[in-house]
Amino acid sequence: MPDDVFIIIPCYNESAVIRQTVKQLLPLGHQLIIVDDGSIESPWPQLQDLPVHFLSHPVNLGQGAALQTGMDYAKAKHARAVIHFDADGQHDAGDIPRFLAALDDGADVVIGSRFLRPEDVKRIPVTKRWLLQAARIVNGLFTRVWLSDAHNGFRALNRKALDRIRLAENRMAHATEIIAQIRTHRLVIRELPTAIGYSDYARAKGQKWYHAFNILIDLILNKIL
Amino acid sequence: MPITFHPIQIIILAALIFAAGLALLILKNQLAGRIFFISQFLLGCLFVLMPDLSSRLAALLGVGRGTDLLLYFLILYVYVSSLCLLAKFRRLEKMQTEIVRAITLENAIDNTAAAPPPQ
Repeated sequence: MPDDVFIIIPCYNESAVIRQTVKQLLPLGHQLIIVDDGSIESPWPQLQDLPVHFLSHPVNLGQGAALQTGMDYAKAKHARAVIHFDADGQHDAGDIPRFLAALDDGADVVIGSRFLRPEDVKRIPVTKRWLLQAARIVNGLFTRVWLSDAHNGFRALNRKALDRIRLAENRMAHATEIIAQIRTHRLVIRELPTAIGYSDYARAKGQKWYHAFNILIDLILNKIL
Repeated sequence: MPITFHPIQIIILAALIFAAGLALLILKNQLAGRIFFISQFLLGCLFVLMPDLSSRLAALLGVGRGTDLLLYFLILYVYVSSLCLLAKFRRLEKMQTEIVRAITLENAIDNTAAAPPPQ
């Protein structure tokens, strides 16, 4: 019987690293969903010999939309749980068993945090550390859920959370929206420490400080429009 | 007494008539939209034909000059219109997302039968 845990990997112009990320996850034995979000160069040639589910948005919509597409697919495949995992190799596949164990332990949603272990905090570039703390406060004000980290894309959701959470924010503001919906649906949330690998590639691809303004405007618009 | 027009009045009136005609053509079967643009057209004509009107209104509202009053209203108008357009854009974006998602799910590739590569 195929495994009922699905790892969703949204991917936008990640052809250079996607194969490596997928190969790192395969030994876990879970099902992998790669959602290509309208990349200029499709990652499919890198993946077609690997046992994965491949979905492809015909146009670029944003990471939030790609995650929701992956979650819809996982639901249709009777997923028991899903993991959100970044394509750029920042996350550590070795953390996944701990996240799933926390779900088995009663949490509906498990979110990774870079601020729970001093050694993880030290790995965050200083400016990013301050930006994340500011984002954490914005998240807290918007959602009234106070977490130790913000915009950590490493998450695990059980079936209950998968059924209740529906992301309407197509772009990066989904990371705040998901927290708001956790509160709205009274889901049990737990944070677990995670180390993020800030490789040169991930730094170049990652969000810049000025993207925070876009996210903030998206959040405000979502509230009023 | 014969009615005389300054050249600028004729230019702006012609532009207003052209814009109103275009709006009415574009907004087929949209009564509310057509009424809105006709009202704008009439208001525009009023201010062009009666240049003193804006000054009198400005004095009534405690604003120095008629041009200042029109500028304040214009800023407000641009803000509200932008917000309405943005709301419409977001509605369209949501529709586009649902369509794209449906197409994506329809064309999903289940390649799980492929053998895992040797580690």
